[in-house]
Amino acid sequence: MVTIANFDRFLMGFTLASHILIVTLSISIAVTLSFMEYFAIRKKSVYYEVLSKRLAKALIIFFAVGTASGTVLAVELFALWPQFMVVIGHVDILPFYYEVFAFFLESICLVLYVYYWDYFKNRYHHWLLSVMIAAGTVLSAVFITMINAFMNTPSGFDYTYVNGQIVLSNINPLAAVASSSAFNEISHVVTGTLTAGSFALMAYFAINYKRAHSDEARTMYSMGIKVTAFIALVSIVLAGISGDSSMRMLMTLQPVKYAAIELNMFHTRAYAPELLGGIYINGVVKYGINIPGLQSMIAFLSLNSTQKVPGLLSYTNVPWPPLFVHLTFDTMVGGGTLVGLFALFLVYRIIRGRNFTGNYMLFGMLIAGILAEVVYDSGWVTDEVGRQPWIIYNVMTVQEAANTSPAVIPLGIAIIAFYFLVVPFTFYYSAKVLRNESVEKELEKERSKFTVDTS
Amino acid sequence: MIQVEVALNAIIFSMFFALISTELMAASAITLKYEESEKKVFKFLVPIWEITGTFFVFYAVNIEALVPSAIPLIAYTFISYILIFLILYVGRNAAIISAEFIWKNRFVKKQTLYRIYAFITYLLGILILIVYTALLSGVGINYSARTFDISRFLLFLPDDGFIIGSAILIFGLAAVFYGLRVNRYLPLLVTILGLIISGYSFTKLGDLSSPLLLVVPVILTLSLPAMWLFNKTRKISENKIVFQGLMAVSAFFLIYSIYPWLLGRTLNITSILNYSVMQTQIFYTTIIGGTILLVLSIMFFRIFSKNSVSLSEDGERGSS
Repeated sequence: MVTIANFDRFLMGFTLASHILIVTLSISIAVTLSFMEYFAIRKKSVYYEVLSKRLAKALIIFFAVGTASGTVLAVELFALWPQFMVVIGHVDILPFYYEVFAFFLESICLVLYVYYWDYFKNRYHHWLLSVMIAAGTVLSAVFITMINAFMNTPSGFDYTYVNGQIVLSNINPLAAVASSSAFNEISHVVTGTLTAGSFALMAYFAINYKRAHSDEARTMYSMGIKVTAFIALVSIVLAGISGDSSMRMLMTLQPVKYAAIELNMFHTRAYAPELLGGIYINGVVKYGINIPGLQSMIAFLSLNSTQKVPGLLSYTNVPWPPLFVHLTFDTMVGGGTLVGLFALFLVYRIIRGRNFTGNYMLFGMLIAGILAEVVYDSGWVTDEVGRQPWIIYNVMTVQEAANTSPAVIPLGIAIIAFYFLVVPFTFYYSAKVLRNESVEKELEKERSKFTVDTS
Repeated sequence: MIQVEVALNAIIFSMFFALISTELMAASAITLKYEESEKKVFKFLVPIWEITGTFFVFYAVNIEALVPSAIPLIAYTFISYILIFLILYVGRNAAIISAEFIWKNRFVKKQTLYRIYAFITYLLGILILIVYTALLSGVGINYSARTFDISRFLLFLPDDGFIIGSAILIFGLAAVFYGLRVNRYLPLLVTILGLIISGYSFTKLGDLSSPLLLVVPVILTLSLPAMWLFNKTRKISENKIVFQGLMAVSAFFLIYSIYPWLLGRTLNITSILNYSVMQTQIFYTTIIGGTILLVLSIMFFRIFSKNSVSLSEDGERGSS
């Protein structure tokens, strides 16, 4: 049913998904840029130098639109969910506040990095700015994830409801910042974001490699592929480890969410099977494959553990999240495994000095770039929908938090329409800006002036 | 005496005001003197506009931390204005970043994009002023129903006067800040006119708690075009740090003069402040974060004052 609260939910989800597309690239470009410039200085390579300059240009475009969409989200939080922000404002506003300073670090350093490139006589000083930009973007992600962790595992306050209004007491802001799931979530989100962005960037380099008209350009793009392949492999391995740890945490901290994600249509039990695929229809799970004992084995890393995993039938007295989260979870894990294996294969070929720029490999990079974004978005959908109907787990529902003013609908539709223009435009525009300059000319220009002063 | 946490919020707002006013002045210059703006405005605007946006977020988060109980009031009362603001804000960023990197083509010109940016910036300025003025006067706001009646707001002359006067003031100061070629007496005359209209209206928005404090912003604001009259002092008023510093101090005393009242003296802000335990944490974070920000700002202005960003016709950037 389309209530205003549901519209708020849709609007928030839509703008968040759009923001995520931009942010994954911003973060990975910032990190990759730092590596590229370091290699440019160390190896005195014009290829890395030109790659750095191109990435810097793309970064400032993504930053411009990313900060705007981030501001939209920040304002939407209090405009669409005022009661939620009342709780956050009283209990857990500190991560937002920390994030502002990370944001300043990123924006001021980025401005200096891009607009005053030639000012720095010592190139390592300029490179340090890129490190600070990367630190700023990653820290922003860390602090925002702290808020999400608080929503999943709230702590640092007591509450009661009086006449339908929440009354807060015993507030401890630092305990709220360090909520139980914070570390797990942060490690998974940061590595996952870097994974999705690095694969997307690799896909971009692969497309350009294929389109390149000269050996020089192909050499340059193959260097881009190498760097992003290593970053992607390291980050996806870490994302897998932290994701596994997050699932174990869910078993104790959010058992209903865990059971819904695994679609455990049984009572809490030991030796639980792993369900691959499957849709819950009229009380029955159809179209899935059950592998006996596998879920317990993965959860407890033991073949014959007697420990139990949560099952939904033991939680019939509490609301369940929409059960399609099982499919989004499977998409995340299955897709993540595929892109991880591809990254491993790619890095293996690079290390062994084999050709990694054949047509099949380039096509694989393109597919991996798209799939990694799908995996990343599926992860967020699993996390957010899996918490429903709560906005703050077991404290406040989405319905209770929502702004139910009818004015939200027409303007919300306008925002959505506007995003449909702005997000594709951002990707098109950055690609066009970079494509407009000839790689060969840029390399020539850099060769004539590229001197490295490391004094 | 103003409470520390409110003072911090007022300082953050003052800094945001100083930055946004430079963008509004840039919008005036771009609209009226585009060719001159290319040389004098863009070298300042291009590296600074992203930092203005960051300051806006800083201010918004500080408000959420300072008075979280007021969030539902603002969210419901101004929901339409907030959502329109968001659309315009994304449009502003898209317009200026496109202008910065646009390549030669038949369809869009750099000048057109900068003019779109200027137009959107005006609209954003008007929206901010409407919400801010409404919160000061309270006219048009139905506190219990959490609605805002724009017609009632516009029928209250001091509301209109404050917005129109502020616009005139910004217009008058633009030539000083960017050193535009205009009659040397014009900025002073326009600034005086803007000050009379906005200042008088401000005193009628709600009863002032400390009317004498208004002397500070009046003197500081007038000093800028006054110094611009004379060749010896012109450089001082055109200095970006001096100008923005004076603007920020003026805004701070403007806020201080009405403290602690909002909504036409019906809401005492100290009655809705956040819990002290949170305020303590916010205070520490502001001090630590503010120090980092200060260091970054010093670094920025040091480099900015030694170099200027240049934009050539094809959008190629470099520093000189």
